[in-house]
Amino acid sequence: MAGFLVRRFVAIIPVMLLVATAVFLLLKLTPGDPVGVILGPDATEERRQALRDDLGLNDPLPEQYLRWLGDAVRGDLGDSLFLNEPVLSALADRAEPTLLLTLLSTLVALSIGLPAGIIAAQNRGKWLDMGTMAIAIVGISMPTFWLGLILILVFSVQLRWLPVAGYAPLSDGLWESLRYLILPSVTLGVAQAALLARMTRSMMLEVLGAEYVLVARAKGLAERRVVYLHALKNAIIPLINVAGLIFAALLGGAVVTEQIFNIPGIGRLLIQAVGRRDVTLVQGSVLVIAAIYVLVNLLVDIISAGLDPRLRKTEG
Amino acid sequence: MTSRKLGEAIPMRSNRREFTLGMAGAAGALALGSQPTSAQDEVEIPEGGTLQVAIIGEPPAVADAVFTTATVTNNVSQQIFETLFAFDSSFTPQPMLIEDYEGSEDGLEFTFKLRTDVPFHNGDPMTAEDVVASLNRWGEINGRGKLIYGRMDSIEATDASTVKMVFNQPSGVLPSFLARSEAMITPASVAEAAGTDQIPEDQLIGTGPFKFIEHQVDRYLRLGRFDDYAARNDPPNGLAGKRIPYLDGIDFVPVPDESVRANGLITGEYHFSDVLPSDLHEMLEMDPAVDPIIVQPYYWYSPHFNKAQGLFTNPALRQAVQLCFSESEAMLAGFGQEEFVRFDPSVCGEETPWYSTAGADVYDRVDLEQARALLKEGGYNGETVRWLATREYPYNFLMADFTRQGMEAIGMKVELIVSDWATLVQNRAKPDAYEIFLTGHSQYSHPATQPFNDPAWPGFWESEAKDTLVNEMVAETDLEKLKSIIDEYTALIWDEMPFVKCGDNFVLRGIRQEVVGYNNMPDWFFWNLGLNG
Amino acid sequence: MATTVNDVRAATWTPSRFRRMGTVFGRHRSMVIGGVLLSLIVLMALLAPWLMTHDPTFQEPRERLIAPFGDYLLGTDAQGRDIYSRVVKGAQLSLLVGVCVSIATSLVGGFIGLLTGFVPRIDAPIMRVMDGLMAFPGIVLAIGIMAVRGAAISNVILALTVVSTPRMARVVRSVVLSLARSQFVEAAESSGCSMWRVLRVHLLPNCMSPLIVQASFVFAEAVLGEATLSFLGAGAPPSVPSWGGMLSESRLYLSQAAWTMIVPGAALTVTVFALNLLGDGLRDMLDPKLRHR
Repeated sequence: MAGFLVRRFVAIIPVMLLVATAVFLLLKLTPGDPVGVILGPDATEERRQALRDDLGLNDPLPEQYLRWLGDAVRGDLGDSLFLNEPVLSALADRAEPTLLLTLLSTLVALSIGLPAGIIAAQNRGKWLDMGTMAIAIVGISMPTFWLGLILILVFSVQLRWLPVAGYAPLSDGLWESLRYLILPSVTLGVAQAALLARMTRSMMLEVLGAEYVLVARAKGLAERRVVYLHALKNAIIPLINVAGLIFAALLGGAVVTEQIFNIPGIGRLLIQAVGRRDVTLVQGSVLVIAAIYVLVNLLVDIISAGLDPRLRKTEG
Repeated sequence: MTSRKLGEAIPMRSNRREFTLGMAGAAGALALGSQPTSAQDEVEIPEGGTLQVAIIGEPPAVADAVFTTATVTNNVSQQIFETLFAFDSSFTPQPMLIEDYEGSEDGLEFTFKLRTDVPFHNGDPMTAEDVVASLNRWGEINGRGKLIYGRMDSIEATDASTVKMVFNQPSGVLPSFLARSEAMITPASVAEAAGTDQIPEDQLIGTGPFKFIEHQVDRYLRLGRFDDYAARNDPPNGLAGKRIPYLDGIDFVPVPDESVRANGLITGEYHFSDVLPSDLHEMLEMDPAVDPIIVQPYYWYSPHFNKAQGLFTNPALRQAVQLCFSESEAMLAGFGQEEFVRFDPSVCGEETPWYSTAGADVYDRVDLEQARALLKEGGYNGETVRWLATREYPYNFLMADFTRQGMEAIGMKVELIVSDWATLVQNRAKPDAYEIFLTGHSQYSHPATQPFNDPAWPGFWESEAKDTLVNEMVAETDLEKLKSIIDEYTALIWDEMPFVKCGDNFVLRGIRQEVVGYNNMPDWFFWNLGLNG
Repeated sequence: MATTVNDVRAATWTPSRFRRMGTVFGRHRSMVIGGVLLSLIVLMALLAPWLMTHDPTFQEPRERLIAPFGDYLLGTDAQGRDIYSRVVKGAQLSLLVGVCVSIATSLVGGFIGLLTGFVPRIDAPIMRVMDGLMAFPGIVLAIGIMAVRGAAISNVILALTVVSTPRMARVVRSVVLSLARSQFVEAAESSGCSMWRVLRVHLLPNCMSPLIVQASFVFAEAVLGEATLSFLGAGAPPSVPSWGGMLSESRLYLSQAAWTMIVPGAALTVTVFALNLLGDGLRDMLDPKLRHR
């Protein structure tokens, strides 16, 4: 296990280095002038030049790269060009809505997806199974932003039950905050729920067909007990993998969902930063998102390996 | 007439305050000049509370209106800073920081007597020295300031409360320039320290009813009441007259997405929202907690040709473009609702004394045959027209995209280069970077103060005929004579076609019912206004 | 490492051959439905010039936001363009992007997969690069690429190919890895077959079915990806009718012109739905283990 852990951790380093390099180059190659953004349209050329010097934008590219990388390794992602605050604190400020959105969406996905998958598996081949799976495939096929717009149309514009968009921080009270997050979490959670239902069904079927389940059944155990104790227990590793996937997919999905519902989270910050040519903020936030991504996957691998020693041998 | 048209289109409930400026047209505008507007005299205005204001984005240069021409910055700045003159509801300059002034008959000499009891936010009293230093900075870095300083021989503080300006050309229009928010007065130390740079946040010191408190980029720009504010005694009229800060403070919240501004207004997050999508007018009408405000006059819009370099140095090609699309339809493409646009060739709104009907025979005429002939005559040979556009202001892209359709119909090749507004503004200053860009200009400004008169301004309109007319406008103080100059000037625009004026747009803003005493001027302000509950 | 929706689908997958294709096809309702739907959409795209009733890009500002079933079958948008014609035209873009991305991904990803699976020396470095690419949420990576390259259909295809290639490479590589150790490859090697021949005769055919299944899901994701990019304003240039772009423009008119949102969204959902059904069907058919479910 120790060897496995070391191997997995070491494997992260080149990946993160690659991500960092890619992010740096991507931003350097993008057309647009961050200095113009900071100073506004009316600044003189001398002022622009002076600021470029200040920010080190006139230094050779390798020098800028090494400086940035060195700082990043020490945990300093620099200051946002536009927000006048460190990138890390800007991200921390916007973490609340993104985190809540991700958590609530996961909740939506789990509370719909798991039971739906189990019910479908138990009723394999029957109309309940086929109906659930048909809904699931529609759920997967529906673009999140379309679903979001439909929910806004029905629940905000027509029924006026929930706000059209925006966000209230937790400090305004839990319900106030939730009111804003219900539609976005459903929007984001539905596709994942559909995916989860399909996966759960498929895992359950695999396990339900396995020998030990047959043995359990032969021993005369109640079907309910077979399903919940034996089958679900053995489906847990693949499901942990799926949970990791869902979390990762939600991080990406948050970018789009926050945009539709105008939630001031990390995803929206990133899109704004791209639009403003806020180079340090884009670099920093993409790096952080990628790091979370990589870490979640690592965590999934470690938990799976902890549960099933066989997985420690294989890689990838 | 527009006010009637608006009355039809926007049913006002009886219990609802009338927000469209009650102007009866060009003649009426002048008559209204000295009368106080709005019902604020009768209404009891409550004290206290913080007004939440949704603005269209981070104001560039925070509140330094000398440093940038951005409208949002200018609007924010006039809560903090004041000017020697202020516009009344008919856009006529009235004394603000001055007690009185004298202009010589020939328009060459101006003597300003300052008010003596006016403190800055830092406690120091305003003196003639501060005024001279502030105007010097304005004359050095601001486009309109440069125009004035270019024809000025001297400016001096003759005593602690008197400023004298001497010109080498008649400049009777000076008060109109000095009433604009960019001619703002700061302490001499602030103006001198900033020089050609932007005023730092901790130096945003003015004489206005509100003072700068705190700025958090992307979150808010916070102002607080200036308790020692020295108000005038004459009754409020537009921006002029008595100003009383009833509010404890104002938070300006940058909200770039217009549907979010609308939503925040409806949910009560903001008390006031700038620019809202006109398509939401009906929805706001229906909401009992919100009043839609239509600002009229507001801006007019036009594609500007690059006349310094490339295709459109040739007037025939500019005329070809004008003939290939319908200006009125371009306005509809950009702004949607017909109630919010006005089809008009004048560069000044009909509510102003500077309205002109010249160019009506050319305006909105579509003739593809003649356009093609002009293209041929102008030697157009399939070159690509680079059009700088932005989606940050939806109309900007939509009008460009609509005009492109007309240009392609006569065989021109058009490439829309879409970027953010800040990048666009940088690029439009480069003569080799584009052929056309589109922007808006205020309908309520004296035509001599329009930025495109300056040949250095993007589009680069060099014309002796124009320079002569602008000169005459700046000098002329007699309204009748001025009007005939403006007619000539407007006709010249439709003849030389430096840009194609498409039409007027009225902007939609929104305010919540708990706000008392709002006065609808194109440039919003929040004194003489309070919050209920 | 990093994963997406497709990995889950691909993970339930084991390699096999095309078997009894014809007889099996009839038993797969989902595939038939998906196939028929997709054929209709392909037909719509191909016959677009004859199906369209208006110029899909022509703006008629005085005819804006007209409700469906009048002069305009599905109404007009805020710029007075015919929504029906735009949806028909939009099918061309969606399918073009989908086809190009799935072909490019199959070629590039398949090649990388074969190579890394077969040549251990280059396996680690190349797979680390793939891991690096997969460490970005797909949409973030695609937006980044679009920001650098600018709005053009070719760039959309490029961006989405970059996003989906690593997964394709992984799928193919894992098949190759499992086969490279398998006995018949060993036997072939020991009987003196050249490496190239082993690759071509034994490995490639075995990789084909997972590759095809993965490609069908890449197709679906590319259609969604194009729409998402256009929705965020980072996709095809605005002059090209795109379902995602239409949805983005519809946002302001939800209350008074909901059809501007419903029509393009439905077209998009039906297309992705058809592709997913087809992909599921293909997987079931080509995978002997899952077929009996």
